Amino acid sequence: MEAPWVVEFYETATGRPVLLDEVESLMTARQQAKFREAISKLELHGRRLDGDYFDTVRGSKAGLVEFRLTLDRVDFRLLFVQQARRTFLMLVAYKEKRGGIPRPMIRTAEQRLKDWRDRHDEN
Amino acid sequence: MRIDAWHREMLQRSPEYAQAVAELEADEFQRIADEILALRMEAGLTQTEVARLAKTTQAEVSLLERGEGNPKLATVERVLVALRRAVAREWTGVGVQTVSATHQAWVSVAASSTIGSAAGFVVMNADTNWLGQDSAQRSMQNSADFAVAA
Repeated sequence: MEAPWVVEFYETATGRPVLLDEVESLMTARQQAKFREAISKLELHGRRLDGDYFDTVRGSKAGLVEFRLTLDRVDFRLLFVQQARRTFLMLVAYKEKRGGIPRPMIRTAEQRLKDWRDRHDEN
Repeated sequence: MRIDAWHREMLQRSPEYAQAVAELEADEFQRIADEILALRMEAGLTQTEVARLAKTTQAEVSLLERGEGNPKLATVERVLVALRRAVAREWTGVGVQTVSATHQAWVSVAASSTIGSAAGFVVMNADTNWLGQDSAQRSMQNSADFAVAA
């Protein structure tokens, strides 16, 4: 059965899945397996997930949202935008540290979003 | 790229990932966590509402449905019972269109005159796997309350 929500991970123009490469380097194999389960739940429930799964990114003009994951007691974050009504575009992933979202992560997410939209003709 | 494509690729090229996926699929705590989230979505409750019903905290509910932390068995039991009550209320109140196989089984048996044992069946169904015999017997007691509440 097709999941009701679509979660797309950013790829470069050459088709390199840089974001999922980052996920691979950030996480242990078990965390990767749990990550896959968490994304499957996001595809199933979408924004109906509430509580502490999402947080808006302050200081972002692009409407970035933070998806919060705890995998084997390690906190990870993904920054994404909601593209169409039921489509999320994931842009960056990082391990959470104290002090809020690192500015370089927000910049990278916004650059990737611009690149994606330029290529997919979305404004 | 979508997660399913990545997952298939990882299974091919990473034996560590394949092993972790197999371990996770056999992890009963993770299955309970999945069920807690699915029930909460079905009941249309927030984590805070579930916490209030189960006399625990929102943070504990969050950890439980992520399969994280080291929860007390009694907390797991209270959350499951609270969620099943909420789902049953949802069903009896407005007629839920999409219910899981477990709930369909419960609904079909609960429609008969043996509602107490039917509710017990559902609670035991999860608890005998997760909590063991003693807890399953306690859950039967909870089920009696459940039958009255329903």
